Amino acid sequence: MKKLLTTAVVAAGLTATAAMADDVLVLGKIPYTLEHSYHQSIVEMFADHADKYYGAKTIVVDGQANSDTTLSAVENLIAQGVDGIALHSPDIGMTAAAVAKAHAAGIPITTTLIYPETKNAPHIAPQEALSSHREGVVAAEKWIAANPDKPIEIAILDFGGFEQVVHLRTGPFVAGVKSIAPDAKVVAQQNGFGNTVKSMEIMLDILQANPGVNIIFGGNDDMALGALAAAEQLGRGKMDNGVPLTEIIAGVDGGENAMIKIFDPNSSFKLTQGQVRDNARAEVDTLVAMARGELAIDAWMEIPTLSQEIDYWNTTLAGAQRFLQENFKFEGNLAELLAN
Amino acid sequence: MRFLHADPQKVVLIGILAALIVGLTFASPHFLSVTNFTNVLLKVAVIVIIASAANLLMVTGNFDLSVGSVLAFSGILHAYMSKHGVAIELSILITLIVAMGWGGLNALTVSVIGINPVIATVGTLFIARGFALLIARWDGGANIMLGLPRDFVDFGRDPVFGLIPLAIVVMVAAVGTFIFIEKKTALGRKAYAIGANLKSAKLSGINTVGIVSLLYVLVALFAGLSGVLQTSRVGLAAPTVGKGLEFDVIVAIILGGTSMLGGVGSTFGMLLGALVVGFTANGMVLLGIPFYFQTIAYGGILIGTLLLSRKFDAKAAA
Repeated sequence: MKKLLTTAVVAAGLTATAAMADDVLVLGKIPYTLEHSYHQSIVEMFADHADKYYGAKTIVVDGQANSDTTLSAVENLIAQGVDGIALHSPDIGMTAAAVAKAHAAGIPITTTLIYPETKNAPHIAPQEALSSHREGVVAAEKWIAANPDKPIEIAILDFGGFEQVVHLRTGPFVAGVKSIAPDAKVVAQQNGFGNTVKSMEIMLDILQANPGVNIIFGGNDDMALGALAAAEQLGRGKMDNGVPLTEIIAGVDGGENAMIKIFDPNSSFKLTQGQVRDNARAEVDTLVAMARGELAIDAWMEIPTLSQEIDYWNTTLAGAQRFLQENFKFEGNLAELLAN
Repeated sequence: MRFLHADPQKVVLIGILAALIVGLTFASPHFLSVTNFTNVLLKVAVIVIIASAANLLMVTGNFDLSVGSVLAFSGILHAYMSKHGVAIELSILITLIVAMGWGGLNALTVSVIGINPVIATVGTLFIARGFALLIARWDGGANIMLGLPRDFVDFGRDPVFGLIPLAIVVMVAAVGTFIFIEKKTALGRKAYAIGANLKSAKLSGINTVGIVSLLYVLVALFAGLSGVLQTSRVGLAAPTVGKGLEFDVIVAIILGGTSMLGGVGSTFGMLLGALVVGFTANGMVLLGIPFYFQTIAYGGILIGTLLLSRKFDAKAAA
């Protein structure tokens, strides 16, 4: 057994070394946490694109939603001498340190979504703020059309400590609602911990304290699903063939669990946004361009990618199916799942 | 007055609980209602169910840090089997048996081999969590929601007799069972004897290994049951749920007056501890207090309660 293990370790090491020695590009990808479907999908898309278009190898090291672990992952990849590192972390200070370390070693690095403290490396920027605003607009329009006599009361579940979420998600969403209903009020904002169970528990309390809440925004789909579960427990969470009865729930990410609820005409979870593929491609393309000397590694550059807004009323089922296939390698059939 | 001398910790907890309920009744018009009290009980149900068994385990001087992972593993295993055609009842039965297996592993490492409970149960924590993540990946995603049969969710959401949520019924049953065990059975008496003095307990012929092992298995069984209940109620099984649950359980137990060194503690005290935490959390959300202050308040309540009870302890001893 020991021999077998030793042989396997040596073989793996030789393969990696051979790849580097053969001038094959080796890229490092550090997702925020591989426990989440968005990050599981993006590492797959990243590796596929790197291999298909550049013949590049990908080394994935999980950030485990922890700043220390993420910085260690960066150091690990630097020690391996990779040709580029794609980093995703909400810790802006740590990201700045990671960028400095990579640059000191002459290794290109990209950041994504959360803007780093220092602007000295290309940043892949999903345009979430635009889509969050759009979600707010659609939610407000649909609520007012169905319930003109019930003023809008908003409840928000966020991530607590990630301050930039307010610029990318919660803030633009509220601005979107207020652009249609200037009198709309945010009556509750609590930390949903990005987690369905916690969000359900907290939303039960929020709805108890604020029974008039009729628009709910979850900072991700897991939190939106928790809010829906809470609403359902209280006999809410309902629509009549897409007409809002009790509330409208919106989220972020666009995974299959959210989509099945969004396209259920009788569920009140109705909007989301997201993209995976284009972000992964932008990360790979930018890193390769820097590795080839076509882009400076220490110049600030914002590379926007579209974060597609999806909702029950304006997105077709076929469009949602295509979105899931392109971004989450979805192999099921949304229409069949909804029929069941 | 005799009660104060007999059990100052419980008096402190009852006082805090009463103050919370009275204060919140005036502070929030939405507090005093059946729906809200149901919400609070549902919030603490998982903690109380697991802590019922874990409390008696701590009375023996042992504890289990793997409960959150066993809960997550059990929820995802139950969802996986239900999704792939196993009948709900059979799936629950298999899940509970496998959950007891995790307890058996803890029993083996702690009670039989003699590894420190922190190290041994943290080992189980990582292994169970890893398998939970693996099962989710085998199913093709980060969690399991699509394709779950209707009766999977009905099990957790349909109220018993159309009135009381199942999680609350199970919580009451768990508390009742362990109050009975601790007061009326040889298992309860022997658990206290083991915690008070392990050597004496061994010398007096108590099967210390067997009793501690049995309690580890019961803790895991209750963690597994909680996983099934929680997953069914939410309608989604995620391998990441229950992180930090072990600390919620330990806080409820310690607040309730159980000593980490063993020999002292009660199920009723643990229930009071859990309710104090539950009502505090509920009250702060009802009042719209940001979560940063909530975490500070938890720590403050834990330390404050223990300081108050020490003060009463000292008075009672004098």
